[in-house]
Amino acid sequence: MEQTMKNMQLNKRKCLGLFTLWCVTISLSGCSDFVEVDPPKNMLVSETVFDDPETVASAMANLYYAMREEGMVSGNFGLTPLLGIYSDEMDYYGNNTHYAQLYHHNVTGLNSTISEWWEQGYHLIYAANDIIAGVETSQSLGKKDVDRFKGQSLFVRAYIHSQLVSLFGAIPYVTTTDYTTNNTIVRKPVEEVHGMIIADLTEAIRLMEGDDVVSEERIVPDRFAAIALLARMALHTSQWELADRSASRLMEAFDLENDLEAVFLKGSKEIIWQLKAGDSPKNTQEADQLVIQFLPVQRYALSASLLDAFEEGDGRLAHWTGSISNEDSTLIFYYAHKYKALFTATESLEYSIVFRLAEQVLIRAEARAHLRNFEGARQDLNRIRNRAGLGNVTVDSLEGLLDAILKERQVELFAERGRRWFDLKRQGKASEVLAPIKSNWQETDVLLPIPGPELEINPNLLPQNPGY
Amino acid sequence: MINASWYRNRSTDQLIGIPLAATTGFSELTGNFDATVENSGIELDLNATMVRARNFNWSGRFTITVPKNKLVAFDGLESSTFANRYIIGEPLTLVRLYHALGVDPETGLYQFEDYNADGEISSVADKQWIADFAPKFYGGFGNTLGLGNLTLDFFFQFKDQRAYNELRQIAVPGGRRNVPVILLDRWQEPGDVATVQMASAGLNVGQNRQGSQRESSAAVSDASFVRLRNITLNYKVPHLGDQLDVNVYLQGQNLWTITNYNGPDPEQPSSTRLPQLRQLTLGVQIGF
Repeated sequence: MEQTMKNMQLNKRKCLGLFTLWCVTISLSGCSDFVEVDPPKNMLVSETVFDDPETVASAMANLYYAMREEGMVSGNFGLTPLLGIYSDEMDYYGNNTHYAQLYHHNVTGLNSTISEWWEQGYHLIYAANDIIAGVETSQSLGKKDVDRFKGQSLFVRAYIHSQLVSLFGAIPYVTTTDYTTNNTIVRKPVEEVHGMIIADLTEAIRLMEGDDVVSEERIVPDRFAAIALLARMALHTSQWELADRSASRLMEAFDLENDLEAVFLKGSKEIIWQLKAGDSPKNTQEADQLVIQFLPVQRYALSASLLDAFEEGDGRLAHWTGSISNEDSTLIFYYAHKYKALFTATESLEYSIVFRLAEQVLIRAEARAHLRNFEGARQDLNRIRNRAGLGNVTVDSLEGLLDAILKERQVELFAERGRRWFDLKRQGKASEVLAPIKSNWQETDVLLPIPGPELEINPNLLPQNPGY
Repeated sequence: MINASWYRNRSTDQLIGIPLAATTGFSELTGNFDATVENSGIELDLNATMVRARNFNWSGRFTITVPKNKLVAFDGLESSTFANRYIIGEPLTLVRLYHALGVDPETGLYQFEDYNADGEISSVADKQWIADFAPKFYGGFGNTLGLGNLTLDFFFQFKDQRAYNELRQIAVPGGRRNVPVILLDRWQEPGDVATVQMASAGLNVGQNRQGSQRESSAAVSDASFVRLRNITLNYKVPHLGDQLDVNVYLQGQNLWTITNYNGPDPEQPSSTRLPQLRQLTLGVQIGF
């Protein structure tokens, strides 16, 4: 009897077990629809962002916003003043120790400005890669939209890498959003990075080729921006024909602004791509950083070597620089005055220009000089000189032309995102020019250090650049 | 009465912010920390009444905690982003620093140990000096003395720990700002034996060494302390009326600290934070 009871209990338990299993099976098979959550109504998730051209355009706008506000392109840590003081364009009068390190060539791997450039740069590259992946897999975007957004994102990726490689030398070239790959990524040699930038740009130009929906104010980079960067990269890689061809395409599509006062206004004819200003300030941050409004100087003033580089009668000295002196005029300081509208200006007059035609004209001059087309090189060079009210150069040798072009670039492109520094570095003239004026100058300063903490997190980035 | 407890707590796969290389586009990722961490320790709590008489009583209390934190296991530590941060068998609170060797009397510059002997002092390879900022032990003790209507109560707090000192913030004088007094002992000419390197406004290569000094063993020092946290003298006013309870008290907080710490406050070791204030309160408490 007792035995039977036990068996019955056992059976009951078994039955209960089976029943539970059955319930679970039923609910499992029935619930796959139930647990699928609809996309939230109050925010955008990645799948929905890439369904609508308008939301993708917003995602892209966020990239340009980030370039304007943070990191190396513009904003607080923008290259314009900081590479100005790293090279021979400006003197630094402030007391930010990280900026002072740049000015005095005492940079260490712990410099927070350098970290900012690196981190923000790769953050932008991530965002560009994310958009590329998103539009490629989008179900509802049309081909034209996909091409345009992918082209813009490839351009952004190439542009940021081009800045990073110029600053740091060998760097990782990031093409995916996969953090497991990117977390242990290795550095690629400079030549390889240049090759990848050019490949991205070539693809970007192809994708955006037929698409002429350029923004009215030239605030969205289109194929012309990509061609402008390609011409610049061609110069960096000594591909003179490519540089000549690319710059020529831009010279067909754009005109130089004849009035020096109008070159940096937001409606200037020669602007290829510019970063739109926000609601407040309504103008560039560069004007606010560079214009000296009172003495003593708090931040930057133009250096003697830049001022000396202007020839007698150069209109750019009068139109593109300003000065301030003390009461008895014993002290006078000059500042870059390309952008004039200050933080407090209520009218929107200027945006922060990234590419403009004058640089392309000088790129072509340099390319043509190398191609032994001295006549063509002189013509281009003289267009820039004539606009500034200067006479023609007549030199007829490669050396002479290259020197004249470098000097012209110095006075035409000063205080424009470190062009001067990159020129000195590119032409191997950094030591020659900077050693006499920077007491701490070392040959190894042509590259900045990889941020120290990054080497600790990803030892694949080792070794550190020489000298640091 | 003694209350003693021993605890040992092992946690695995904690959800934490895992640092990422900036090349990923982000600084960290919330994920499972693939490691076993052990927290163990002893807590001791002592309460004693020494005297209890009609007009006089005296009681005391004492607490101490000896905590210990250890990374027990971490698969793949070497290949993770924690490789240069943690060591198996050691606490998570450790930091790796350069080993400061003082100021060279000839050059007037800070010197560091070149662990890998490559002639350069560089991050990772030469940051092999290890400090642990977790306290070895901490606790407090107090006494309450009552004599008639008068009560005196005081409580001391103590902690044995190491922490960053003033050199963590600034290690080279010469910039246009206020600096700690310790930077006055600076090297000025060959032969000087000083604790601080030559002053530099940034023009001199010397300023290069500031970043390393701030990340070196010199920026770590003993921050142990004993502090009179609270002292209260209370006088209970004798019977004034029914249901009326009046106390007059004088209370002091943070009146006295014994420490060797080189900074404003060993309790929150930082030279940029406002130290805890010393407070004296005279009060009357009326209950009705």
